[in-house]
Amino acid sequence: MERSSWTLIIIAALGAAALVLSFVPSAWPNPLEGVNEAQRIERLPQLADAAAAVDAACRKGDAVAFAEATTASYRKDLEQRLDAVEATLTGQTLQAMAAGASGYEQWLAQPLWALEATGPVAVAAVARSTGDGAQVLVFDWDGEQFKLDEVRHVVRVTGPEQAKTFVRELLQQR
Amino acid sequence: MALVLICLTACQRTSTFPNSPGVLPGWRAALGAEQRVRGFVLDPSEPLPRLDPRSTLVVVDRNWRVPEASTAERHRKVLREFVEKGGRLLLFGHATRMVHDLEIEAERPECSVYRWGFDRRAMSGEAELSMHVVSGHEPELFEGLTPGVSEHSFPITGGTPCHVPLCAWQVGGSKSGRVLARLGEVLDGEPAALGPPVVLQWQLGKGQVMACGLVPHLNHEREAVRTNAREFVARCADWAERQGGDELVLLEVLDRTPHDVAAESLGPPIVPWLAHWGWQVALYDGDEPDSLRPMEELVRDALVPGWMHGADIVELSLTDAQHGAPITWPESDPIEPPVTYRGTTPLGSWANGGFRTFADEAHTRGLLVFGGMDPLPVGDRPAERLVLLRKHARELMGLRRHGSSAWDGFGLRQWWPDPQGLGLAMVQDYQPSASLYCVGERVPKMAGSLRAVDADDGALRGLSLAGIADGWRAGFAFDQYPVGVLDARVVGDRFPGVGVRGGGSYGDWLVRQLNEFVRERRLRGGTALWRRHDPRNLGPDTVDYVQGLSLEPLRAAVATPLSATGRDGIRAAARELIADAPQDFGAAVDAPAAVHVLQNNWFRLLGSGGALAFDPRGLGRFESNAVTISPGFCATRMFGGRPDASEIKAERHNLLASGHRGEGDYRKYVRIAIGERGDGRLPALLAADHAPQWPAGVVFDWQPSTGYHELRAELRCENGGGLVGIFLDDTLLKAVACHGTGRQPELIVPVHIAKRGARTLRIELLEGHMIAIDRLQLHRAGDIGVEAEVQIAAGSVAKLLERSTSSYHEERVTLTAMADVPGFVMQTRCDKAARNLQVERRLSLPGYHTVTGSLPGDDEKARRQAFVLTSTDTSKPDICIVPLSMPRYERLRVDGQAVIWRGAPEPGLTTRIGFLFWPHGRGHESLQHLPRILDGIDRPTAVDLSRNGHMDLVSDLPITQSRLLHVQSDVRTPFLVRERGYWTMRGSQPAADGGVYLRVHQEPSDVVRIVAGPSVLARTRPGPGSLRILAMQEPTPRSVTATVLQKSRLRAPSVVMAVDFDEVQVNGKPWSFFDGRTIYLPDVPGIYEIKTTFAGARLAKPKDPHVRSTAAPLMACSYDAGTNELVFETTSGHNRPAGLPWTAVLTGPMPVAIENGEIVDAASLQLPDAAAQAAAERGGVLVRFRSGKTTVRYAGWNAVAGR
Repeated sequence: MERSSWTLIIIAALGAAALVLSFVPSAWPNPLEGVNEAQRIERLPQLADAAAAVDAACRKGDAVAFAEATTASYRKDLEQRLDAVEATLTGQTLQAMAAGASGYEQWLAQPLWALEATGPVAVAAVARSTGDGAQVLVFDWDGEQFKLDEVRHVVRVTGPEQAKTFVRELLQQR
Repeated sequence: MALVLICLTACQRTSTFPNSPGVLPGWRAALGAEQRVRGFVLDPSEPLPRLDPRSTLVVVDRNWRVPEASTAERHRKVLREFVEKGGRLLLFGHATRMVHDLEIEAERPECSVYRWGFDRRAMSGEAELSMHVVSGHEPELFEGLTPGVSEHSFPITGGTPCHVPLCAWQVGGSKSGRVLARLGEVLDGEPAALGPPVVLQWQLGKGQVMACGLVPHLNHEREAVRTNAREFVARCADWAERQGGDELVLLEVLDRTPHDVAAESLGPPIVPWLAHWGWQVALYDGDEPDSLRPMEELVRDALVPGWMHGADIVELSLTDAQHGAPITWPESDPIEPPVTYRGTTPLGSWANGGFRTFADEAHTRGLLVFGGMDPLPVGDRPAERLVLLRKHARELMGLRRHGSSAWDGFGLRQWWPDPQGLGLAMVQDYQPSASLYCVGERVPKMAGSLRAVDADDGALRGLSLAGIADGWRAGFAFDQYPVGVLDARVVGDRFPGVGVRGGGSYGDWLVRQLNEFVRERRLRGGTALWRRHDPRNLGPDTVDYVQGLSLEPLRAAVATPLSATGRDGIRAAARELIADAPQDFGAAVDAPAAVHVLQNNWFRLLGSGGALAFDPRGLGRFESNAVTISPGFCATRMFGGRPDASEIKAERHNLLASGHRGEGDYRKYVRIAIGERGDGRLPALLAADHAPQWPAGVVFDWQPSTGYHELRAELRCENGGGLVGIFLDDTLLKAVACHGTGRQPELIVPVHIAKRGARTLRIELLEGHMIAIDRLQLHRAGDIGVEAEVQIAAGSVAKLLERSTSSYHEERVTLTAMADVPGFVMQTRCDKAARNLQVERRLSLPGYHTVTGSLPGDDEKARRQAFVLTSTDTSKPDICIVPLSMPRYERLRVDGQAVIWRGAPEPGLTTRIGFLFWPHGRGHESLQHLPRILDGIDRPTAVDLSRNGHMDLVSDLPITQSRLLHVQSDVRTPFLVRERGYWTMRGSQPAADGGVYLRVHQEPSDVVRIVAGPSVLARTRPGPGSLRILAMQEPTPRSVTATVLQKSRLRAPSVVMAVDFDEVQVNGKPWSFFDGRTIYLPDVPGIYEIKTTFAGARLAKPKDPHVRSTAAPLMACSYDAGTNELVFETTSGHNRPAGLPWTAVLTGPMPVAIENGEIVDAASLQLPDAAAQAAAERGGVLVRFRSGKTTVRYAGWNAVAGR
């Protein structure tokens, strides 16, 4: 083959690659959205991984990793709460928080009452081991990973049906 | 040369006048040093010294009070001769009237009080009064003075507000004087029309007289006025010198401020500072003709609860703008109905004698009943108004026909200048003891009536918020205005009569109004009426505040938010709506409106974290002359806890996410649930009083998480904007003025949520036209929410609850105060705490770093016992800090300028610490007893009455104490309380958990007895209108020693004996002024020993002739059976015009003659029919008499057969 033909092929290949890459999304859609309940439950480990990342950052006292695993909104609220006891969000504080706490990942090992997703948001409601209502974890999909956005203890939710209703209402409000 | 000197010395005359250097020092300085100046007080009871015509007399009457008597007879002749012989007389202020008294001027000038800035015509309330020169004579008098609004006008006095004496020829002009200047007025910067002659000159014989009806204000705050005043006085001295005077003699007229004797030392330890209080009660509660409130409702909701809180007067608002008067007036009535009369037919329980039944309900309980006429339901012709009053008096106040059902007087807000007292005469022909009070600054004076301060005069031009308080339109002297109508309308009137709509009178504003009113009137016969018990005007807690405050006037403990007087409260915001509105109208307390205060007459605490102020005089003044004990009392820090990882969330709501909704189909409020389904659209506009087109407010139902939230809003003015209030539940968070045009600056409202559950957030246009909401967002901005709540509003005890909630803790801080006790108890209770959480409270007490006393066993590094802190500033009281209960690990430590209170909270733990202020340096004196005394503030002694309704209390404390009792019995009457041997009637305060609170005074050796229930009404007791002004010693059914504690002014003080009697002796002398079992006493504070005798029913002996009813101030009244004469005599201490006779109803036969009086012709009373006339005759004989001694003679009186 002539050299010019090779050049042409290479240019064409590069052009085609560029064309394909231009249609590749820079951010993937929420993996829990648009699938049925069973598929969502199959993908629950993705949320558990996100929760585990938060727990790990806390245990290590790694503020940078913590920032990567949580949303700005989550961190802002946490800062407000720390401010009440004259503390700030530092690695040391994260470690102090983690000490003696069971961690978010473990919550997702509890019986799952509801799991819903809309847009970039995924919400899981699990039974609290202490029997006092549901623990609700809200994650935000940033196109690449879930980040912990909100944690709620909802006393009035005491079963799967109530949890589903609650989670749907929560998603509507957001 | 020596001879000449000797001659000159001999010619130098020696003054014959006394000289008191303390007399008018400012005037002495202003008069200058050219002539010798002497001075003394002009005492009418003392003869004048010999007057040398070479002198000039300068008579200065600085009193604003109008002189009641003319110049003393003994002075007139001497002064006139002085002038005739060549003396010079200079008169200032009300002394100007002397020209008439000395017969130099035939036309009498009018003495009055010039007032500006005391009613709603005024803005800043500033008046500048000047001499406007209208003559070319004596130009030297005005030389060098600085002109005011015109070149001929020279201001010499004034004020803001202005309250000065004025004596001028306002009605008839001067006959013989030469007018030099007329009165010039500049009101709020605007010149008014030229006034009457005010500077005049006369020639009499060889002498000269010059008078200035104003008193130059030598110390006026404005330099131009001050300088003019001094210059004018100096020019007057020059004038005297030019006329040949060689000596100036200052004569200061005696101070006319009344010096009423305070009755505190007379006996009982707890005396109500106000003689009377009561509600104005609305007769109608709607606009329809038949919307009369049932009488039973008024008795149940207003009359009885008020009575139980110590009320002894009730005013029923008989008329209103929609309905006129509820009295039918047929054409056939002997009193011809005015053409303009507007009336309705009374319906329901008011028909067929309902008004008389209402009076019976009141009188049985000892309350006086007045009828309010606002507005008058006739036109403005005096004859029509007189006829109206006569008709209403005949229908409601016919004492002879109706007996105890007769009403006791009227309150008027409209009248015309009535110097003869014709209005009073109309009424006292039917009810001789009736009183009238005229409400308002601008109501012309009706002779013989009482004047009342009107809260509506506190309104600002263009605004409807009413009320007069310390610093705002105050200046109504107690002797001129003994009655006051205070504003208690939270919601404004739709049709306010001749007043303003009112509204915005929250608890804090009620306190300020009442405190201002009571301070000067305490123990001086003041009457407070609250406008108004009307379901349309009342807020959810208005009744609690009014009744609690009135139970203990000025001394009451109060817990209230600063909704009206805070720096972003209703009044401060409303002030911004009016250009150039005076600062004093607005904020009175430098704290946000949402702050809740706890106060009584001794201290004010702006929430646990706010400033703590103390009034050493115990008069509830916390703005000026108060001692600031702490700028921020308690600051709380938390540390050591870890956030709860199970609850971390951002909370943000865009309340306009659903957009706007258009016009129509609204009620007053629109409800929107935050975060729930439904129509979440906001109305495009809010408008006051425009439903159904637009609502006035929007109410958000909300289930917030605890913490600190912020509401951010952008408001836009439409059609003028208005006053916007943002409320959480019913507590005002912030008021904001929305004025100008277009969009307003972003509004940020802090919303603290510490109480869980459903809440309502309300945005309401309270006053004005329209606003739009362009942006409305709510977000949680902090973890700690602190919220206060009033638990007990006001009264003998008040309680404030502050909740503090975060993700770490939940805590309740309760602050409790008692009336008239200079201290409070602070209780903290932990409901929830995170592990390892620690709390440190810092009680900031600058200047208090010395512990001057403590109880034995105390550890100074960890105090758990009572101790005393003394300030380096001797004006500050000692603070006794008394731990009442402290958990094991809590400690107090004095650290420089603060007390550190540290502990580790645990759910369920409670700490109580009492704080008591004691005179400087004496805090240690009773320290060991304070734990028990303070313990009683928030844990009152629980007591139960015995079956016959009484109980006795003793104390084993060796010191006197004010005790709070929680009477747990079902009490439906006021109490009779015996303290130190004195029985007084006392109201009580309902307790939330049943029973009532009652405050008593306990002395170490005294047995306090309390009585309540039906037996109170069966005993010898204070009579109608005397519940608050009478104390009794050793009452028996037949005798009692009564102490009149203060003047009543409305009705002669009276005692109702428990049993019938025939004859009465007061202080050992016969006394014939009684009606049935009610014995009337002189309205003069003092002690009256009353003894009655009863011949017995067997003898069927009717009572001797006696006075049944009169308003005349009788000092003697007795019937002599030997001469068949009833003789009564009045005191001179009254303001009745000489031409207005008194009336009285006498029981007994028809007199044959009356010396100093006459029998009133029955035909002149225009009774409706013969039956009424017969009934009236059975009720007694109506006589008229003049002041002084009156003798009523009877003939043929058969004591056994009767008439």
